Amino acid sequence: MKKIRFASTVTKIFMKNQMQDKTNLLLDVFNMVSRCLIVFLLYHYIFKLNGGTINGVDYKTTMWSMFIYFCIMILNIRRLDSIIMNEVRSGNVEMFMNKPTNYLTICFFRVIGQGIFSFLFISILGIIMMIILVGIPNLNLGVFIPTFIITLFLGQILGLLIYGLIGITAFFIQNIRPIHWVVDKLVMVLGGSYLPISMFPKVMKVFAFISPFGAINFASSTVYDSWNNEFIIRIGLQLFWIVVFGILLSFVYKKSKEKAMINGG
Amino acid sequence: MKNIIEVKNLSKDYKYKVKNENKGFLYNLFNEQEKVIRAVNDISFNVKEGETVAFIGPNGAGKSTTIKMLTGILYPTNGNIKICGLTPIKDRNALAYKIGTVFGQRSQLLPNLPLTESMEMFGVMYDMDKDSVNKRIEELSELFDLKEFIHQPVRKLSLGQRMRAEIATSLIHSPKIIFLDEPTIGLDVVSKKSLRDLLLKINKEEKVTIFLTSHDTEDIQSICERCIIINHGKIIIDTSTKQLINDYVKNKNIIITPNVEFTEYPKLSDGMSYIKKDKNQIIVGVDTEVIHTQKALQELIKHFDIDDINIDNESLESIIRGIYEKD
Repeated sequence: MKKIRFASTVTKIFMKNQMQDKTNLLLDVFNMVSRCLIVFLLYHYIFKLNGGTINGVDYKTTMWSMFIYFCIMILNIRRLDSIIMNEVRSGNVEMFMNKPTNYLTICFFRVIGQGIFSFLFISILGIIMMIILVGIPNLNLGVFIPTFIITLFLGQILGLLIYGLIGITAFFIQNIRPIHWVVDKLVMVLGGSYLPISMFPKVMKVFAFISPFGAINFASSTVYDSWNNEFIIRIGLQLFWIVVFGILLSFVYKKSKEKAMINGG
Repeated sequence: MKNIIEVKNLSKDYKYKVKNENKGFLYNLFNEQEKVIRAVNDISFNVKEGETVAFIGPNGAGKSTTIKMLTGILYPTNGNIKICGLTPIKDRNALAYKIGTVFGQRSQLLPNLPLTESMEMFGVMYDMDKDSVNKRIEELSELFDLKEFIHQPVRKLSLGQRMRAEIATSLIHSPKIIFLDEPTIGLDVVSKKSLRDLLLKINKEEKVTIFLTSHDTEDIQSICERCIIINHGKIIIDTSTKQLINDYVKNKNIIITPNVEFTEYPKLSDGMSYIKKDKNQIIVGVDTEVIHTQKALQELIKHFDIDDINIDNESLESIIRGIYEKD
């Protein structure tokens, strides 16, 4: 109960802190609208050239998949490693290392709090926009609704663990940006940022399926017909990667506390 | 009074990589050498409950490293620490409930929100229920006179107000000890005075043990009853502030104002020297180990036509400077 209260308080307070910055919200809206419009126009043309479907998937389903991916990106879990790196570099990490709560837990709820308002606001606006522009997707709601919530939740936990792990390496190496860049691009490509998952070649599809980087964005696959047959194994894979990265992060975090060196001591 | 801080043979080493300047890039890439710096070297001391202790030393002496080991942020290389009977590294979580920390050059407050929000967040972090958090915010607001700015966004506070807010926030869970690392850094004289008064108040009213590092001797003199001086990682003096002044005041300054302007500055006896030569004032430094103050006065009266005379003790700042330079 105490932990739930802590999580909700930290999330709420960081959300309020972020909401003070209205320019940021406007920029997020602009970013989402412009990305969606460009991508949607482009793929509308490509699908038209291919007779309306690619790899058996239609334009509407593909656009909803990309829209889900863009919404997840608005939550911006991926900034977690930069937050940790900046605090390690500046030494501000010491302000939270002597608190009764694990530093990483504070960072997790902080990053969620910072992104959740934009995520909810833009997702709701975006769903309305999508229904008007693209139409309602053909979904088995009985499967879609519960599995979407579960896979979105698990994907974000996995994202926090992976980006948290990259952030923690700042205790060992000065600049974590190259690692961030590689992992981030993998997450983006395998999540369907550049190319819809429906257009992936077979090898890429397999890689996106089994890799932890693809598993972060499994929610964007929930609109495909194949989801109905795959969701158990996909959720199982997410749980597997959560356990693996949870153990890895807890080990590396323990080592990093031993290694900690903060300027002025 | 029982010991609230116990430090025994505490040391901390830092390792860093060094390049061989005579060798090339590839050699250094595969043959990196490590150097070890001992930042804290086998120090031991105890602090009693309710004490106010200044832990001072020049830059790089090992003050901040020691504070960070005491608060569980850094791992010691050797030695034992007990804070309220707990070992900081092993019992980091339990210890967090007993201590508060303020690092003068850092902030734990949320910049865009009013202070109450940060206080609420930390209160929840320390498992306090809503009523206890509100009650404590009320108490601290009264004690630290926060009412005028408690609902303003933190980024709009002056530095002095922010430091008061930082200290109040670090006391949200009523800790037994507060560790302050240069709390008055960058503050103006009025804010410094107000902060010192507040620290004395929490020591008296809430019985909080104060462990403070500062380069400002006024902080030490007005807040701390005991001084621990550290240099090159070793404790060189551990005594009461009063005793430190008594033991180390060897020099006195005699300030003389003339009846008519000074024109000549005759040679003075051993142990006496001119600090300031001006036609309207001269200051003569007297080393009391060489010449008695009375004798020095007699000599000056003989030399000059004096209108007024003042004798000052050496300041704590110059005493401490002398100790650092000697070590």
